[in-house]
Amino acid sequence: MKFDAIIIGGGHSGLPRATELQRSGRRCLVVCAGESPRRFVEPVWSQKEARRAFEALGGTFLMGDSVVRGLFTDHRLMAVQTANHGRTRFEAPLFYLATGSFFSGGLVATHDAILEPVFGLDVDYVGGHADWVSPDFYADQPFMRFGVRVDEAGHPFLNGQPIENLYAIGSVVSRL
Amino acid sequence: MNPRGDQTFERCMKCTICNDYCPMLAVNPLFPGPKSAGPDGERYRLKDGRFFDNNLKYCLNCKRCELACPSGVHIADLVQLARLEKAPTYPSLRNAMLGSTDLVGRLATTFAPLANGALKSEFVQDALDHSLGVDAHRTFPDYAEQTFVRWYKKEAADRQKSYPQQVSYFHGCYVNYNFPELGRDLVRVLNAVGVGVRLLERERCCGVALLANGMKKSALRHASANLKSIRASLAEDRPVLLTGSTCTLTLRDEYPNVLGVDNSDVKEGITLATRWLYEAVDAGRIKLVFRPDFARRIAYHAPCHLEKLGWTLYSTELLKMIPGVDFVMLDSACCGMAGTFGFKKEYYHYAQEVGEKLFKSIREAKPDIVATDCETCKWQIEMSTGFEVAHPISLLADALDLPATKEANEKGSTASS
Amino acid sequence: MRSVIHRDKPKVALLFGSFNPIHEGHLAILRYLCEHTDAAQVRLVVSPQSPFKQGQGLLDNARDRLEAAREAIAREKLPVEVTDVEFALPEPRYTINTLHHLRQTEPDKDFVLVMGGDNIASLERWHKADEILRDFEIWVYPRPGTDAQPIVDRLNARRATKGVKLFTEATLYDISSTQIREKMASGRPDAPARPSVYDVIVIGGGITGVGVARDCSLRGLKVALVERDDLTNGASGRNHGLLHSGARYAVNDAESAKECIKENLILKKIAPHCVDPCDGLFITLPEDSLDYQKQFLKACRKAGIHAEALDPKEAIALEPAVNPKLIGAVRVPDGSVDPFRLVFANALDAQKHGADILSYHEVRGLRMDGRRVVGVDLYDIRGRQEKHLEAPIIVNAAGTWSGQVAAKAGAHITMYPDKGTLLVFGHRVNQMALNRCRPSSDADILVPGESVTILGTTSQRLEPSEIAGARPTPEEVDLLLSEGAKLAPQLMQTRILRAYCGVRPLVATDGSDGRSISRGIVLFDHEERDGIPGLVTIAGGKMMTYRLMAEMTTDLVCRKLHWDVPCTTAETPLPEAIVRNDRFGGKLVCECENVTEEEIRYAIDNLGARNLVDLRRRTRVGMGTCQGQLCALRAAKMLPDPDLRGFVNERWKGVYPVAWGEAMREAQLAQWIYKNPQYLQEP
Repeated sequence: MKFDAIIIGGGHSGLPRATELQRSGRRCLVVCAGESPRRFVEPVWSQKEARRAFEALGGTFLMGDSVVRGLFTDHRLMAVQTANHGRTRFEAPLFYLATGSFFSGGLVATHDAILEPVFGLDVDYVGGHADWVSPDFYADQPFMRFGVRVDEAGHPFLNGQPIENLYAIGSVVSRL
Repeated sequence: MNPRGDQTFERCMKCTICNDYCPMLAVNPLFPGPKSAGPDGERYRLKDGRFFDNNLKYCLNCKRCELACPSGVHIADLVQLARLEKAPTYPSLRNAMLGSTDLVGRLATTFAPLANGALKSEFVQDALDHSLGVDAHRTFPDYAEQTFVRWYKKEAADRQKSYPQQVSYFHGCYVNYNFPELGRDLVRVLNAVGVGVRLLERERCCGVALLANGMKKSALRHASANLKSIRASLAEDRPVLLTGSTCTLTLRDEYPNVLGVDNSDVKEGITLATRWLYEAVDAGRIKLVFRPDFARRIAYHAPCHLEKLGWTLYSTELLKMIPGVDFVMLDSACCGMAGTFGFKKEYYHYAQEVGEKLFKSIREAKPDIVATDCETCKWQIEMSTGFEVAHPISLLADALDLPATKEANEKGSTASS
Repeated sequence: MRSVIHRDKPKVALLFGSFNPIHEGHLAILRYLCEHTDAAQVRLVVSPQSPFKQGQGLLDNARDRLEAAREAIAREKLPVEVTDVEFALPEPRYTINTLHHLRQTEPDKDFVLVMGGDNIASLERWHKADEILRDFEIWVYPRPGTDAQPIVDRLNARRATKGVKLFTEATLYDISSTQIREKMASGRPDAPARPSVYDVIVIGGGITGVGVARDCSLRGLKVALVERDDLTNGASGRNHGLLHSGARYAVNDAESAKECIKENLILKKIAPHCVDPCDGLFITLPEDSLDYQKQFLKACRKAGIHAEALDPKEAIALEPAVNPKLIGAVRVPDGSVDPFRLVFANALDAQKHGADILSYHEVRGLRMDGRRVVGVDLYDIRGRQEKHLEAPIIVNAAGTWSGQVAAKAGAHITMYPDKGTLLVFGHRVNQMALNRCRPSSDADILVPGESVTILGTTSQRLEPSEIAGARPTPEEVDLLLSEGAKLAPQLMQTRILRAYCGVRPLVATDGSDGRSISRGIVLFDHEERDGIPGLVTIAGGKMMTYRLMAEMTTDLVCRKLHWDVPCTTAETPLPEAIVRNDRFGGKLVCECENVTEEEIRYAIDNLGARNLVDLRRRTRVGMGTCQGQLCALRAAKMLPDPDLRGFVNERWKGVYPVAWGEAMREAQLAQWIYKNPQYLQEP
């Protein structure tokens, strides 16, 4: 299926961006794994309402689904496949990664490393798991600032190469 | 290892987002809610089997909690697994009957006119209410005088092999015993685009009603038979199409997740008819030509299980292709029927309360017709709102200029071959 | 004719006496009257002077006795009225006169006379005894040493007796004020006549301390237990929870093993509500030697531990989570014990028998009279005041801090603090305790407890200065995981809730230069050992053997006090201190662990929970998968002094050593919630 833009992640960063694009006349697809945890930071923002507004403009919102594979050619992302849609390819000239941080699964901490689970993009973090946290809960916690590396334009990197039609936005982006 | 096999409860962060999405919790304070019933309850049930809460019976298995969960917990599956484990060895007569759609369907179609008349009589409804606990308010769908399979074998089977493409159709109990016209519509549409429809060598009820009523052994037998037939179909390069969204979810997801039956080799080959059609149109493999005089205001209701599959967009996009259609997307909400749940006297009023939001939005939308892919949603909406409900495939069959479509696809296929 | 409706008048039970001084025996009777009879009201009638006993007594002043009684009853929180009605009545004050007076002034009440089994024998000699028997119900409580039943029967057989009832179930104590006065008079010339003087003071609120307090109070001694934090703050709150069968020690330490299995059976009998008799398996893996299993079985049998060798298939059927590669297994009567429940049960029982449990009271110093220890100088942390308690015997049960306490009296004990780290897994992975059948090593015990599984442990010697800051380290966590997976491979995929560590109070046995360290029981009589009378130290041992340690200690204490009462702790059941949460209704506060508002209120009102950490020990709030994420905020609203920040940091200590996977997600959620000004209760 072809779209003008595909936004991976339907939370506080992805959904507004998708709505903006849809409003400007582009046919957008949002793939969202679950309800956004934004409510814990900003209880007023309602994902349900934001979704409704997006769909009223003609946007397509896939809830409870996640991107499991990206099909790349050179430094372009050509299409993605999702958990629910099997072999169906969702193609677009423009992609956004807005999958969030650890809680929503945009970043994953294993015993030895921090990973970006959708495409395996390059992640900015420090040291081993003992370095990711501060013993004082109320102190600054390093892990809260980990995320994918992006260039000035906002393109993330895959094995050191920026992906020219993919942007990373929101808490998935590194703040180190 | 969790003896019931689902470890995802460990990921629960207690964020409680699931409870916000549960339609039963919103109307029934007795129901503990997805978080308690699922991941929380599972830790307790592992500690001591006696911690099983009987109020889990109120779970509609709508899967909306799973859609919302940010942690990937299979909440509804955990509840179904626990219920299956605690189900009595011998279900009540009513539950056994409601669960055995094949058996009841066969009997009822044999005596269809009698059965239909009887089920409409107040006397019989009251008797069913008092004796078995089938709520008297519930209107039963009619039973067909001729099953879909009978019709197919008589009227359609012979010519199917002649078409260039072939698919199998898992018709399900509803089409077979109650509403064969939907099956006929599908055959017409697929034939018009050059696709031949075959039946599986042996099809049994998908088993969702058996599972809901605690009859695991029967469900396993059905699953085994169905998978065998599906494998045979796929071996001959025929994907298996369905019109029923719940049957689709059951064959693809409930078999491995709840019954513990491995279907990984065939899952990708089981799909919804609207999805298959849409993808074929999108890829340019088939063409659809519509009648210019088809004009309808159609309000679409996404069944819960179709939302879970994530395939609502295929049904809606197909309908939106029809030029004369004034398309209204109803707010996603559960109709409350949940298969056999709404038939049961003790749950009837909960079913109606859950569905009220949807009924209201339908009344406000004032459509000519409501479209949905699930048969029990259809019964529930027709009974509760009085609006007519049709399957997208039936609407498609109605809206297509079938001869023109046939021509367009024959030309196309000779050109591309 | 109008029918008269007789409504039963409310009964008022009257306990007469001089209460010279009031003691535990009286309080026990009063408690019994309040809880187990149909008396609507209970009154203590203090006599200005007893007509039978003339001119004796430490507290001769009647007002003093009245005040002492009021104080004691207030402290016990008993709904008993202490009345001085007899003070105003003319002499001689015969009971019948008092009864008549009461009946006249309060005709709407039905007065019941309560007396002891020894007194009923002399009732017929009383002034106007016939009238008493005819007009007033009499309740008799049993006194050890007299059989009141025949007398009660005879009185009831008389024609004109209203009713004499003998309470047969009351467990009361053979303490008479006479004995106490004698005891107090000996040995200490200037003993103050206030009820805050004790027979024994126990320092330390861990399992050993409360065990000693319980044993002493059951034997009739007046006990005070002082603890500078909350109960179970030390090793008692930071262990495995394994109820050893003793099998672990059978090969190398037969004595310990025998003690263990004996205590194992006793605890299962007296504290079934604290113990899960889940049994245990000692498994042999391909890299271990099956020869050791043979040795093991022999040693267990010799120690009296029921050990049964199983076929690996049988073991897997019994315990599906066990490593399927095992080549041998032995089944033993291991179990799991809830240390919090056990400690609080002992403390509650001690309190029921008159002990005072003073938590958040720090021992600043020991009071000395020459070289003799005579009391403790305390600082009440909450009340912010100094307190002084005196007793002829002080028991040092301070666990890891025993050395520091003994040093305050000039006694030297060599301690070897040893840190052990453990992991709590997200759900109950195994149903039986799993052990390795080989010489003890790190990380080879996996214990199921309630809805979680605990894996331990490690061993690292600490300097005394390192005890306070002891934390689990990443290396320890890694070691635990890799070894633990050998017991149950599933652990590698199981979520870790938190890591925690405890410090073992290992003690050097005497006559050593530090090389022989005892895990066995160590009891020092400092009078004999160091020439410091009035102090004993009980240390070493395990949670398992606490009751035996308490028995040994209390035997020694009783010998020193010339108090010849035997130990009954092995037979006496422990009360349920932390009531099972399915008995409480109300709104759920902690959803992970099913803790309701009612249960929290019970813990605050009756179990002394002041802040969130206390609450966690008594109700499991915050012990579940969310580790206090959501419930802490809710529970904080119900507590007088929640200390949310302290609680959050306490939980964080256990989470950050395992900050990956699901724990990382949880950590982020916690950062959002607790640093969000909208959700915070305090900065």
